[in-house]
Amino acid sequence: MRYHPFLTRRYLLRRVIPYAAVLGVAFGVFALISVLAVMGGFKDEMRERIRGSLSHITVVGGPQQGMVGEDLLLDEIGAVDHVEASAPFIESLAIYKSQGLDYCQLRGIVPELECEVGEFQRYVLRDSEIRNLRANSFASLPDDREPMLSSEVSEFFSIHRRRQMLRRLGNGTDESGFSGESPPQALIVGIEALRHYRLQLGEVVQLSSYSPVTLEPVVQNFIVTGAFQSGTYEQDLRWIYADIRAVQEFLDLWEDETGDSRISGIAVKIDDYRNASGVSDLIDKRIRKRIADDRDNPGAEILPDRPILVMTWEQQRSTLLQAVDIEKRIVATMMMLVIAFASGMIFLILTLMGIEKTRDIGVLRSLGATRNGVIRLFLGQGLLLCVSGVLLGSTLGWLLVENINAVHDGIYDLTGRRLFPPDVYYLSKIPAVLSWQDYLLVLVPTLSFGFLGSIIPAMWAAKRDPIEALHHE
Amino acid sequence: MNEKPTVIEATGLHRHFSSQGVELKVLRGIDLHVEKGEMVAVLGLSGVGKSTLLNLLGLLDTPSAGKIFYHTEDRVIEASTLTENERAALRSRFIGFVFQFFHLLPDLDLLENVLLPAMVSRSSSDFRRERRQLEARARELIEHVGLTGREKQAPNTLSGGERQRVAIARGLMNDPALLLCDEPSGNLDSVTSEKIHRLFKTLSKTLGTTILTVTHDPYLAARADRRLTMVDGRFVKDQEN
Ligand SMILES: Nc1ncnc2c1ncn2[C@@H]1O[C@H](COP(=O)(O)OP(=O)(O)OP(=O)(O)O)[C@@H](O)[C@H]1O
Ligand SMILES: [Mg+2]
Repeated sequence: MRYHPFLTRRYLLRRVIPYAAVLGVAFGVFALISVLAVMGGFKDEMRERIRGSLSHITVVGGPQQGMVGEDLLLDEIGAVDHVEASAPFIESLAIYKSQGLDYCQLRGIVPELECEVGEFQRYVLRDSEIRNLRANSFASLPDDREPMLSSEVSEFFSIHRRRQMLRRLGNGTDESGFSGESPPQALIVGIEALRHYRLQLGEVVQLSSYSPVTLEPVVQNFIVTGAFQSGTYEQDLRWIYADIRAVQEFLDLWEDETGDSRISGIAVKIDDYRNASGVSDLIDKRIRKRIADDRDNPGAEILPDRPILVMTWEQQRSTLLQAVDIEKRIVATMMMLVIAFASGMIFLILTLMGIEKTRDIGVLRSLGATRNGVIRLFLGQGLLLCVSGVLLGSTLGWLLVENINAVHDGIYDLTGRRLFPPDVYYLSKIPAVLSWQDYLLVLVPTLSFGFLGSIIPAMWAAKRDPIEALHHE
Repeated sequence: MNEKPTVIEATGLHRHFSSQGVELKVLRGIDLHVEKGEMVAVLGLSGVGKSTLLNLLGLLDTPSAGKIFYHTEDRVIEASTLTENERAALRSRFIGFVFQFFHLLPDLDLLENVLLPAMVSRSSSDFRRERRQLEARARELIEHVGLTGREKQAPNTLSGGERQRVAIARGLMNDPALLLCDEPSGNLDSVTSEKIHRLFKTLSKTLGTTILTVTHDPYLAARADRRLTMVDGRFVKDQEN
């Protein structure tokens, strides 16, 4: 009916409070959108961080026994559908001695294979990059940085490189006790270890640990030949990569009984992570079947019967991932209160309007407006306020999300404070991603609250008996 | 005297109110018959039930017993057979109201107040299509009530008499077959109410509007074609003037 838009305009435009309600809703929507976008971007970013250098799927042995039969396992895993690459690895805690003592997570890898299953070639730094990153302690590699070739990566472990690094710090002389003929094995250390002066390039480091096979202490010298930056602070401080054979020798991993050297596990890359849980089941079944077959009719090569565990990276990091998710949900719930508050304002405005306009309603009814017509009049007003607020808030939110880093820089220029210090989260930019699911998460509750806040006063207004309404003073 | 067509008819109207267990019998068998173009005055002491009757006839209320018949152009409609929406539709097409306290909408200007019934009865598109004719009619009515040139004025800047004239114009906007007035001059001084009385008389003569008006005002009653006096919930006298 014509009177709906007409009276809506007359009732709302000339008053101040409706604008306040629109601004309230707009602010709620704006805040919620911005927060969800930043939390969403942050979550994606944290997911990457949390994943770090984990491969899609990891096959590991028991903590005491580890795994043996590396070649057989690689064959079996490589034969599973969707598997693109697999690489053996060893991980062990070790203590290193340079100027002082510190501990590290030592990882033994096959460099070429590691490049295939993970992103090692993205992390390993060229010498010039090491210099740049050491010069600026908050800098990180540019996103579009050219990954290294796997042959370049292998070069860091080569005897040539080790000799070169040995000469560099004036080692390799007779007094140092290291000969250029058989230089120590290579270590690739994290950039933060260099930045904190715990280690330096070309330094000879003594690593010590315990052998899980002999249970005896082991000690060996290594030389730092390169560095990496994974983007995860803890990894960049603690992790040290070395060649898997060197680590096997260092940790004394040879088993006489099986006639093989132990490894910790095998990292697997598959074609599409969405297939991960299916593929990890297939790998698990296939290895168990091989173990069972070998037990029943032993052939030339036997895969010993040891427990294995096949995990996707999300399973390995499930608690951390959940924590990030919960954080986002909590913030969203808190923000929802703002919207509930704004809808409460719509509710109040319409309720007061219904009281103030009681006689108008009586007049409209006497002129032939139906009860539903009055409901629609008030509901329409509430929804108009709500939708205007949503539109305004969405636009502002979208503008902020698109320009968040410019805004952040602007605030920094004005106040000299960084709201989002890059060193805390190790992010040079604020990540902000608005997904349509997040947008629905804003839209649906806002419109529902708005609807509730409008329909109730609308029903109250329409419920009134027109005769009483006309007598309302 | 030749038979004129009937506009509204009521038989045996009762309206009882029960509040806190006490039943108050306000109307106790009202019979009513109004012809086209007639101006009928309803008289009675305060609290006798005049407004109650008007509310029943105006479909704002339903009788406890009895029937009301509306004679529209094509058929006779009995009130109790109507749904809520049909009642609203009949109210907007067939009936016009004028209240003692004017009841203009303060947010609308004078012209808009007069146009309001047309807005209530029409969809936006219909209204936009007929806008010129409707506005012309509203201006014509404003001229009839003598307020030409003040269309843009807000109701609260008008005097009481002017407000009532706007309310009358509004009551006539949808060209109702029946104009129901509840003490239209009850709140006005004698000179102003005299003007309103004259206006009613002219309207009923020139526009042929059927008017049923409740009044305490002997002068207004004297100008009516007929006077109905209510005592104890019934009409006792039916006097032709
Ligand atoms: N909703 C109601 N509930 C209870 N009693 C009512 C109701 N409406 C009206 N009455 C009573 O019905 C009686 C008639 O009221 P009504 O308003 O019709 O009188 P009236 O003739 O118009 O009087 P006045 O000339 O003072 O306007 C009054 O006693 C009033 O108290
Ligand atoms: Mg009365």
